[in-house]
Amino acid sequence: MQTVRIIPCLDVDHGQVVKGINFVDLTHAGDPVKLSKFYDETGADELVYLDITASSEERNILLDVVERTAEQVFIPLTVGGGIRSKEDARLLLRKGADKISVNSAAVKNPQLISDIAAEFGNQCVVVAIDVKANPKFQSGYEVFINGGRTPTSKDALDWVKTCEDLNAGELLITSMDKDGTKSGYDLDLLVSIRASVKLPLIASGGVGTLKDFVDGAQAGADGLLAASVFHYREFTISQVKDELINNGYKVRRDAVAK
Amino acid sequence: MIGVVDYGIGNLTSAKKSLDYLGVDSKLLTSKENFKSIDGLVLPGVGAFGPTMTALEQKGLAEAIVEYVAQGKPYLGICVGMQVLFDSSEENPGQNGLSLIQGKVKKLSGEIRIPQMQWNQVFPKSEFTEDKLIENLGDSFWMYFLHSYSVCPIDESVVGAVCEYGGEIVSYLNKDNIFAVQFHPEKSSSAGLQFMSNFVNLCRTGGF
Repeated sequence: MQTVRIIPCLDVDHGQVVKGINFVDLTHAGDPVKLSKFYDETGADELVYLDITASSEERNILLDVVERTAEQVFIPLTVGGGIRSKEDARLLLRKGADKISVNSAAVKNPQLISDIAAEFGNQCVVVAIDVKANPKFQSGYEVFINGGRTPTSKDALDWVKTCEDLNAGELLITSMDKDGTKSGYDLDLLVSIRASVKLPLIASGGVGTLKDFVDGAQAGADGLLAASVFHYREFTISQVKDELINNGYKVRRDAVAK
Repeated sequence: MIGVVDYGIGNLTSAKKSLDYLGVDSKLLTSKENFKSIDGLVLPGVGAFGPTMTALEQKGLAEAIVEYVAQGKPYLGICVGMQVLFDSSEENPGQNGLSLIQGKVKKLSGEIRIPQMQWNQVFPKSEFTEDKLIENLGDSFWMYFLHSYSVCPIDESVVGAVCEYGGEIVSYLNKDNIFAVQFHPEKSSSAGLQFMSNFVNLCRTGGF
């Protein structure tokens, strides 16, 4: 049985965490390194950094944040946002990222997925996909890029299969309809993607209750990503893991709960 | 001083960063000349068996590692750093390993996803419950795995701990001064840091 992974996501802008940090203990506020360390200590299985500015002049700030994180945080770190080339990936991996998440650039140039996989191994290539329900598409979902601003006319299921064919290592699926609603992951979406590809699947967007995590696992997600419910301390990672264990899922359970 | 072998493939700095974090003196070893004055050697592994062996051979590091191990000093192999200790691997048939431990490296099989990319629970063998590298980690411990192949030693008495993934996977082994793990202690949070710390202590105190 796969172990279900709990993954806090940090949106990073100009080197600072920007989404939903208001209620986090002041000592962690804004600093991705401190917040990451906190999540490591409280049982997170992996971390995701999404660089939401991702302009070239900000790239060095991100590299510095990744490097400082890797010096203090010893769980797998995925970094995404504005990665357009194998060289972008190489720099981040050198600084201590374990996986690279590509999104818009992969849609525009799918070869990027296989290029990064061939160079660094497919285990480090996460394809992040933002989707929105649209009945005009056969799967019922359309892929969006550029932070959800631009529709691509790509069917979500076609795109995930293409990603698998291009040797992606993992998929991070965000439902734009659910993101921020706290009404749970888009379970239909997860179930249909699970049925289409064998790749590990990370569910993102919509978690509001403990049960939502269990439903995500039930729908076939291997990784359960959340941001605000952790940043606002609505749940601890421990509580999420207890809920999963109580529902028969296997989770890693040895970090000291705080 | 702990040496961390840097053979130029992938991100090999995590193991060194974990030693830095623990306050342990360590240095990256890029050629065989650097091996002097090392009390412990870590061979981290990212990537495939063949390219790793090729890189080690081309840089003279393979020979240096074998010579180092022959001195009886402690060696820790991580992931591919464990696999290259063996004779050969199904990953790259025809490529010889270091043959410091007899056996083969085989592809994972069964009703599982490959690679194993997850945390898994590791169970020590009963003969290893007082082993210095794992005795303080509990009856079982969780470590981060990322691999598609696993080792099959001919002498099973070297197997110190296993996890379950489509069958029993050798997760930790020890033969004399050779220690090796399939998991990534440098990515396994507090349990992984404790393991690294245990290795450093063993390098200082000997007695293995």
